[in-house]
Amino acid sequence: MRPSVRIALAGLVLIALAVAVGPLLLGVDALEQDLPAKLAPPFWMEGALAGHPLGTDQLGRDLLARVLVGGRTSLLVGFAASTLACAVGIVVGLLSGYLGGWIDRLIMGLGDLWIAFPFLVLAIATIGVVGSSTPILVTLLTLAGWVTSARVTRTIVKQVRGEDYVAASVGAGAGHLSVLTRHLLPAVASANLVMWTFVVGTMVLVEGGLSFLGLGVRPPAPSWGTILSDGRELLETAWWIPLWPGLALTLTVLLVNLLGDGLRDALDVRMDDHA
Amino acid sequence: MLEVQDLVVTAGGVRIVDGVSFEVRPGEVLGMVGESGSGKTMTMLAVAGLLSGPARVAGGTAVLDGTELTEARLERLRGRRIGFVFQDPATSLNPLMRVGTQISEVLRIHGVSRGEARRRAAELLEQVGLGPERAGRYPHELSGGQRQRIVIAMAIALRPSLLIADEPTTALDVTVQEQVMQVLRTAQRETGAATVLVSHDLGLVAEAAHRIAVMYAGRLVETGTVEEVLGAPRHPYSAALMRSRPRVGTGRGPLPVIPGYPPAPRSRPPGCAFHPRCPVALDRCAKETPPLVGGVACWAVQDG
Amino acid sequence: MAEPLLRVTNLRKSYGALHAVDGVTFEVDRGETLAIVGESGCGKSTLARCVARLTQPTGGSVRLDGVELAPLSRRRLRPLRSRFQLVFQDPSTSLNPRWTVGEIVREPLRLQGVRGDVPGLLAEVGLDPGLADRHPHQLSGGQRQRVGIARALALSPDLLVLDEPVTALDVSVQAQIINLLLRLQEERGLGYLFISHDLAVVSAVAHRVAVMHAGRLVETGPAEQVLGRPSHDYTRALVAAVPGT
Repeated sequence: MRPSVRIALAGLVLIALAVAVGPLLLGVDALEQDLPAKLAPPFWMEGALAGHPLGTDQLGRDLLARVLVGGRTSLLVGFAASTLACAVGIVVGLLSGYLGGWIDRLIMGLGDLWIAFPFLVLAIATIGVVGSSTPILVTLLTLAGWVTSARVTRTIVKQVRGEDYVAASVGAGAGHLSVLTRHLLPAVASANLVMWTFVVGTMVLVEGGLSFLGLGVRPPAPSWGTILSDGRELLETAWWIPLWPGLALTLTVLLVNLLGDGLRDALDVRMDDHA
Repeated sequence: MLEVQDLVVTAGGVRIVDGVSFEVRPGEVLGMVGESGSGKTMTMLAVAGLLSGPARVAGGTAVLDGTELTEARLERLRGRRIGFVFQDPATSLNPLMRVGTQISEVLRIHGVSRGEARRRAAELLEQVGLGPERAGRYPHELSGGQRQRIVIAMAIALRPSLLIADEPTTALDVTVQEQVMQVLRTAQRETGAATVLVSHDLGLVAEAAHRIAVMYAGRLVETGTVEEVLGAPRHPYSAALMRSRPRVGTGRGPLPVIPGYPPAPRSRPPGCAFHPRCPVALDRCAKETPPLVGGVACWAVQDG
Repeated sequence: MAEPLLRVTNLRKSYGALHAVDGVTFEVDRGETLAIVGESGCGKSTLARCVARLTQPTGGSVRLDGVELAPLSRRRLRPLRSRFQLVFQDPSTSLNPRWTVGEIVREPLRLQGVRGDVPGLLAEVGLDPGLADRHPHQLSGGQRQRVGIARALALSPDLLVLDEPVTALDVSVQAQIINLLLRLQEERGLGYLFISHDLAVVSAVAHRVAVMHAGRLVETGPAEQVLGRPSHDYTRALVAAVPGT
């Protein structure tokens, strides 16, 4: 395994562990307000408070606890949405590319329309009507993200479907399902795996953006986006409030992209050997 | 006149072309034959300075009319002094440009005026057997054979002294092949260019070449006139290759085959690379690489 | 009169106004090779795909051992597929690059739900059974084509449709594969429908030759006669164009 892939994987596992068990070990309630302790700076600054190493927000809530707990929502939404988006994209792309003809044109036409439709309007409208929750966010982000994966999958399927080894398989009696699962699905897997890593990064960012706009999870439950948003007006006096979720968000996206780059290179090399 | 001395091409530490020497006189056609992986195409790409990827020239010289072909000089000489015809005419032509423009473009790059270039392009079209009305066509409006004629016109536009044709008719149909070879031969005669015809097709080379160079596993194993090499091959590999070739009219039945497969560049056997497949191999063949002496690189021939 | 192994009658395949195969009739017997020769675009590959039923013919009849195949649906055809198999031109695209040699040769057996001897098949086509764990890109062109032939033999077919099976190979390897095909035909009594543009190759394998031009067969007969004393103008041009004979 390449060093970059190893570093990225290790970093992501660490982040996942931190947000999963970190809050339990810390034993601090991310929602507990402590107004006398409000706007405490991080540990290296004058006026820092013991027990709040990263400082507190305007309601005196511990920022370390909030960033860790907030990471649960952000990562859950990001990973779930990207996984679902790729899964939906693979199924749609496989069918579209394999069936071809008017079904293909219809599906890809809808995909183009879908991409042209402003996602934010959809998000605002939906959340305005049914309110926001983690499942709603995941659904919205999945709907926004499937088209890319579907397009890539379809392109590969169109090419592989014409290969002689698929013809040989049909000639030996393979049915549609066998061709799809044995030949086509494995052929699109590596490209989608790489794409998934990039979509994860985007999804974590978009969740942050939605929360920042007040369309994310309901307060007081934190996510990286809501903490960023909370700290927005206090940027000049309490810059550390947006700093921590911002850093966590940036680091996660960087690591995921590093993983994607590494995987792409690794899988590319393997495909070169075939040529 | 092209003189190649001890040419060595390596890729990733592997010697793909391993000390190849030959010469081609003006007006002469050298047929370079060999199987895939024998290094025949690599040799000519190296001479023309067109190696790509990890492959590079690691030794030897190529001299064209007294001028050594160095990386820096080749930049100027390609197109002007060296013309190319590659296997697939579809990839040699710009799909977005009219073919007449592509021919005159070659002339324009080398300083010919616009009007003169257009006039010459019409002449060249005529020369390769296409009417001047084809000048306005795009490559996709022409057949494979017509496209290859355009490529030939571009290759001879500046009357090069060296013409390299690498499998020029492999992608074409049999009946078209013959016509394109005719055009290529005429063009070659008219320009008087020293010509290297790289091909896997012994029949084609027999008809078009004056001399033949047979390559195996990165080395020249036999050279000579067409009559010598095809009529009475001396190297066991050339001899076996001639015998294993199917021919029209020999009738149905098994062919004499060379056992085994040509070795990959990184797993070439020591000594003479052909010895594991050779019916007359001596002990010596597994240890020492035979030099090319009197047109054949074989211990069994030289010692016998 | 006994029914021939393959009887194709007035076979047609059209793409809109283009008649790729335009009323073709021929027979292939057990142990016999019929070569279809012609230039690219003459319809010979489409013909191969129609007979192997990778495409549905527009009209006409394809009878294998007297059983009519042409109108059968993909599902109805499936159990009959073991009787006829296809060998492709380019062994680098006809083998799934992600699979091992063993998986590739085993696929037809798995699809038809029958047992088979993969090491035995590899040995039969002259491959070391130890290559079963390799991937296609680790093999030479000749070895890959042997894998393609082993796959086609896996279901013990009666008929092989060979679409330019040696065109992508080097001269010395061509001869090996031609000899392999001749041996297999003798040992297994296979009927071959051998599609090729190369008259020299055809000369080495065919009992009978059919010349295809613009979707039709213009001349059919014993190989020596068609290649030696062609009667149709097009065949004469084709034979005359072969270099170095």
